[in-house]
Amino acid sequence: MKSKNSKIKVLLLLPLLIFVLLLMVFWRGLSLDKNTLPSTLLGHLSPDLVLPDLLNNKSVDLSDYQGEVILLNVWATWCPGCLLEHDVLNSIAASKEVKIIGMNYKDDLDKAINWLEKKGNPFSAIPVDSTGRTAIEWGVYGAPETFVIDKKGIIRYKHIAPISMQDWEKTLLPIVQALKQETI
Amino acid sequence: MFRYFLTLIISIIGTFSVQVFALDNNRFDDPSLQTRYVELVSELRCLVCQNENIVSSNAPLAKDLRNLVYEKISQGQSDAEIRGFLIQRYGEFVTYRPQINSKTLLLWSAPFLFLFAAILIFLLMLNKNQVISEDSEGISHDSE
Repeated sequence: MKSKNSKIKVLLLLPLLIFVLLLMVFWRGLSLDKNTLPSTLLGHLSPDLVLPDLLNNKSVDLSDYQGEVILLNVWATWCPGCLLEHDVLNSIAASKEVKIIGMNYKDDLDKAINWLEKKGNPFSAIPVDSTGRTAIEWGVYGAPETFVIDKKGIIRYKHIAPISMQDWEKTLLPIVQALKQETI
Repeated sequence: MFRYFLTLIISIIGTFSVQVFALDNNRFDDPSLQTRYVELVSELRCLVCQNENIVSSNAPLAKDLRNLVYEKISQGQSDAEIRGFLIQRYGEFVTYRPQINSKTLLLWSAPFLFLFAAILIFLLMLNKNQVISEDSEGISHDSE
């Protein structure tokens, strides 16, 4: 008789248990950022990127950078987040830790040139993706997005949304420094 | 009453009109290709505005993806190839009908798991009710 009683007590606790579990699930849901999709390209060789350069008549081929760690930043003048991170990009470029390739994404080219003249140019090269087709190859769904590419040309990290100074110091810089230690 | 009815009809018409919205100039002369195109873009998620498919979204990326699907159909690629291309780049999230693989197995099996759990709980409760009613009978016999 006593065992049945304790069984019923456990059953009475069950709704509470389920409630607590649900609470945990929802609590986790609150802290999930649905706008940050995982990149399926992480750990994969970066897609081909051969595009004309914004500032000269040459063409930019990302495979020319094999052997060094680089950042590929997707930016445009119509993108408010890019304005936010531009100073950070300038600081990164000034630190000489890593080269930044700035892919200009579906932009007005005159505005883009003007923007760099006014705010400074942190980019080592500026491939222009006017159709957005290369961006699709890279799984880009907004700007700014920043890829960290290792010496072998493999995508090792993707940062979505503007880079803050803190993001750079706490997350991106350690990754870049670790990747620079790697041998090909 | 009539007003409610009217609202209902208007909202029903509204849901249909969304489907033909924003198909741009991407039209196939061949009706079967056109159907494939519309079906494919209807089940692809817009990644910028995540609760819309790329047909109803006005986002520039959705337009680019519509053009891409149009081009790939024109080139004679199959639905599976086009879906595969996009999943490879944007993940399973891009399609409203995820493929069954190790990552999505839980997602697909969840409804059946829940059904199974519900049946199990139902059967247990039935069983328990019987036990209790037998018990209570026993008690009433005793008290007699």
